[in-house]
Amino acid sequence: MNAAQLYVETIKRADETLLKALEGLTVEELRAQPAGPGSNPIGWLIWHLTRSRDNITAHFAEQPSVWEQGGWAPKFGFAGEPPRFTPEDVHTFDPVSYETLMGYYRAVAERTEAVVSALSEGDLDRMIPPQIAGRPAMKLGSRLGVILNDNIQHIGQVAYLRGLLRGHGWF
Amino acid sequence: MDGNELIIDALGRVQRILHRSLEGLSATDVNRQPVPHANSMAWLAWHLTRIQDDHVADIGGVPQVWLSGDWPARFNRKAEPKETGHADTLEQVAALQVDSPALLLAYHDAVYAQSKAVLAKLSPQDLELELNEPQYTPLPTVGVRLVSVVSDNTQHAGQVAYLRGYFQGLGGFGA
Repeated sequence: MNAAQLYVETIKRADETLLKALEGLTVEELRAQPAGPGSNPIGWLIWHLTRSRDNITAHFAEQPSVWEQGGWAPKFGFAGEPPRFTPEDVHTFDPVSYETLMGYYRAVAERTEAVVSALSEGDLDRMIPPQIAGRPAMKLGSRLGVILNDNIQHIGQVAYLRGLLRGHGWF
Repeated sequence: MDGNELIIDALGRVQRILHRSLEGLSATDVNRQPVPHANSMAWLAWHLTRIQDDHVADIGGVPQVWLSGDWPARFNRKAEPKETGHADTLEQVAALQVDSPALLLAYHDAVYAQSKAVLAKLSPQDLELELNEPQYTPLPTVGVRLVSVVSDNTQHAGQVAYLRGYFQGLGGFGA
């Protein structure tokens, strides 16, 4: 089992948790801030984790992101590049609808799985330049580690927030 | 890059998140439940570390760190291999109290050190080995079991990080 196969197994497991955590939630609950003002809503967390998965994959695969390719910005009401949300305005992010939010998420999940499944051993050891200037270059395999870490933390947060919204014992 | 390297990387990130999230907090914050039915940072950090300790020791054929010292007494929990917090009641969650986040980090550091040593020895072929657990179909492999550890641990680490923001206010990480 190499790093690519391990990535696919791990993200699948986490994605199952995410879908379970979302079951039956309303759009209002996706917008809610159960941990108080300034805290990240479930809808924003899903959008953000999807954007990270999309951008990291696009960067190492050297192809346009699903966001760009699929014309997702207007579907989320953005005229151009989305703003960098802060605690002060994160509540203004609009997930639009379950179908829109999860449509983008599904498209990215499928693209990333297809790209990663096609990676060879040699690809995994290839050094990838940093996405942010000043950060170190990394093996492609480690970029997969970055996606896993970022995405699964946020999925855990979504699961916790569901508990805050809906009470104990849902899991 | 072999699968075991990705797991060492992923669990190393979990360790760093825990340090970043727990260092400098008071015992009160670490033990606090945001609402009575929700897990505290202390319970989450203890539980995720117990899962890592139990599952990795099992794969490596080595004793759990939990059973090789006075950890159970310090956490006031049972000195049993399956004492992982799985299916804990609300009362048990509330009862997990620590004097300082340092205890959580010390246990976690000891477990991650053992995990790294076990994982470093696993070849790609080892990850394909089936575990003798006939209650599951198909039989889980070593790799699949480690996927569970990474998924569980990273989710709970993300929850600990979120709670730091919850208790400390915005910008809990200073960035």
